[in-house]
Amino acid sequence: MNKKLLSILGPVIIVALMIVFRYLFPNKITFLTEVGIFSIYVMGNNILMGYLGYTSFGQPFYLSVGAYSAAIFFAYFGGNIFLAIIVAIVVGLLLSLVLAPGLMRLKSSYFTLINAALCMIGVFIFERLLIDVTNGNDGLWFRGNMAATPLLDVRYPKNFFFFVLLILLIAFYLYQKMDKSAFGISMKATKANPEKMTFLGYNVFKIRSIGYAISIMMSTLAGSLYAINFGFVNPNLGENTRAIEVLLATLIGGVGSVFGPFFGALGFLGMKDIVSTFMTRWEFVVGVLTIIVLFKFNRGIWGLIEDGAGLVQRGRNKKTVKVGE
Amino acid sequence: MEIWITAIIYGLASSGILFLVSLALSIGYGLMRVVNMEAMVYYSFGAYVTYTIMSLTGSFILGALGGMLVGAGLGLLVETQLLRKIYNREMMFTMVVTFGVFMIGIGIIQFVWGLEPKPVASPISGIVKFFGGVQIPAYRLLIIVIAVIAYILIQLMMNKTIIGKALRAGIDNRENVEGLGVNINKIFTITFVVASAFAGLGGALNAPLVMVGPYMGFDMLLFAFITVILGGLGSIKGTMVAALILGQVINVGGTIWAPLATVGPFIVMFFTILIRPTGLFGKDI
Amino acid sequence: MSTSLIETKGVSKIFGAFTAVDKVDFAIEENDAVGIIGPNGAGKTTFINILTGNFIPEEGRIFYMGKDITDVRIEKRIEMGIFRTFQLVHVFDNVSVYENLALSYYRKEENRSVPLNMFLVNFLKKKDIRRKVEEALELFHLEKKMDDIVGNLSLGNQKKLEIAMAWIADPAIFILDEPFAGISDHEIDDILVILKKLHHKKTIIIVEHKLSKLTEIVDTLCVMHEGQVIASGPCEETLNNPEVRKSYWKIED
Repeated sequence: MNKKLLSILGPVIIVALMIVFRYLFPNKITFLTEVGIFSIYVMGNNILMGYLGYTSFGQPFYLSVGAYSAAIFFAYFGGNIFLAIIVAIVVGLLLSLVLAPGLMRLKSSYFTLINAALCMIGVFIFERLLIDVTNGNDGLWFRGNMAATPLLDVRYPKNFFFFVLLILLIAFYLYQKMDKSAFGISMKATKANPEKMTFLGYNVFKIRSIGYAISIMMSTLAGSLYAINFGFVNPNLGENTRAIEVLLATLIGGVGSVFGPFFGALGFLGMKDIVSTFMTRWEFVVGVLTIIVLFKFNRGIWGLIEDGAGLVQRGRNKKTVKVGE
Repeated sequence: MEIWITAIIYGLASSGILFLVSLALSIGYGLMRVVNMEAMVYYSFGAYVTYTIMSLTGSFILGALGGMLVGAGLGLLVETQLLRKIYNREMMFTMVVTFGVFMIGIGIIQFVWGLEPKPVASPISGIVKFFGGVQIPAYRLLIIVIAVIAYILIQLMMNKTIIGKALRAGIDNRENVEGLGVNINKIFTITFVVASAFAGLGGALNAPLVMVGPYMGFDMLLFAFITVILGGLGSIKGTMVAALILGQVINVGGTIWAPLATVGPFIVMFFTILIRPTGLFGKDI
Repeated sequence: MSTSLIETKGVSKIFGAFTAVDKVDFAIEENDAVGIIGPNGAGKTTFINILTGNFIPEEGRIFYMGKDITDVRIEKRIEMGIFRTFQLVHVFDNVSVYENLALSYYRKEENRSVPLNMFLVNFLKKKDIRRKVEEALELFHLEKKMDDIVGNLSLGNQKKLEIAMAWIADPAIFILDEPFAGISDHEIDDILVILKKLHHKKTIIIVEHKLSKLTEIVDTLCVMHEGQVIASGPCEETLNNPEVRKSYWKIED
């Protein structure tokens, strides 16, 4: 298999795989939809982690901002599902415009922790400050307000599944384009050596800010899809405890790769699904996995696939992906 | 008026706990450039061990000592078996690894003690009356005293002993210190174990004030992080000052408007970092 | 007085109690090649950092084509054509050799203030980038390494790549900080061949310890000692300067 073929077929194969799963395990449709949504969320985090070298302990914040944007739209403004998704993406863009000037000047360790703080502030805002709008812990319910969509009524889970797949397909193509574009390479180069980037004449701050904005928009997009999927949102979605989930999924998939996030989402949610059948709390498993992946497995599932497919010429192109740096 | 004085003194007690618990983070970063998220495991275990010993023997002092010892033991285990091997890795790597250890710690707690929160009775129930009718539980005053002693001890260790000197030299130039025949690894370990013991003590002291539950470390992790970030990663003095500020934000702020008790610290840190990206006393690293 | 391409007048850089660069006057004519030598800690790298804008000097002024650039920011100086390499090799070790070169070339060709363009450009597909990068690969004998991830290259090849990245950016002035440090004689000769091609076509400032190699490509030497320029002029003459012999070679006459 060569690279060019893979870039065209990759997204198609993934989507086809999802459809096959859907018919093999008809009762797992909610799970598969969640894999699709979670993939987009992980792709967003992968931009921070794999391309920019920032590890955020606050991704649930952005996810819940997206979810609440859509939910508030449905509850108070209208029923158009597409418009709700666009609102969530625009809110993500605006949020990143506000935050990037501060955050993108921080050292990466401070970035990590400030994001953790954002998470806490987010929960506070949605649970307490905006309680009149969001109903606090009771959650905001809006399933009845969603209007039917033409062609494919995505209010039904079995149709929503295909809708998510379509968005996933588009996301993959754009993601791939970005990865190969001058911008994708600039981001990676900035991660490796920001000083040299400056001395080539690039504006490192600008590159980081745009990357950050894309990452946040993907997170809020995923958040809006979560909201539509569940038909309600509550503040738990944005809790700090969940920050590790997306980090771990990114690591499992393979940091900095285009298709890694999908396998990370599938691997992570699959494991959660299996473990949760015989364990109610699974922090222990998450912790052990994190350490195993980091020490023994640091190119993730995608790394294994690459090696297996012989995509990487032996010895020459072997990438060692490091977290952060 | 009394309500404010009460809030300020309660605030000092909160500062004391925050300082004890944050010390491990601050020292871990200052010495080894490792953001050791797992430090909160020592805090949680400190509280749980206190609970167990207290319910067996009825003695809080024995419980707190046990909590300290277990905290120190865990610190020793983690430092020698894990952290030492990852000192030189990138910061993000160590953060995620230690977070993994933290999750494992939470898992073990759930396994050993279950999910139900455990109540711990306050060891001294006396109330100290001040002029003007202010009434403060003696236990809170005890916490303040212990935290002050801890601060003095750690400063003495850093400034007066050979350990502190070697440490400071070791951070700047590891090879030189090793060349002088000082085993810098041993010194790192000793300091780290001391900090872990303080985290365990923090857990023990906080046990009667909060519900001892598996996620207590998580709540504390966020506050401990705010403390070290606000003070500047790696500065013990900064940690102390930040703990003092946050204690007041939590208690006085919470008296003004209840939600400030949880979210106030985050807001304070958020704006401090945007204005001063390295915290109050942090060096640009 | 003819205008020099770049000129400093009495620049100093002070770190606390330590004066790293002490009132240095320096000038280089267009298309000249100057070597800066001196013992470790003489202030050579600090001086370069002043030229490129990493450090703003406490005193003195810097002129570029007669214009005062002392307070001009790094990015602006790069646009003006001042390009540097680093003592410790600075390349992007997580992308390929091709992409490293393309990044360096692309910045110069494209308007960097419009990053949205950057989403549309594919380095491998854009013809002019490809042509130029292939030219550079050939010139620097890196063709075979084109698709390699830079982190897997030898130090010598990484150094070569860094100079190739300077070459492809086609700056007005090359500032090379110890280009020969840590690489084999064979690799040095490779680089020398290329630098010789640039000789008298480009302005070059090189900081280097390997004198025998350095004198092959520079016309003028400038010797620094404890933050000051103690001698400068044609190579032979400068090396025989009594003060240089004393403080650099530690030879007492």
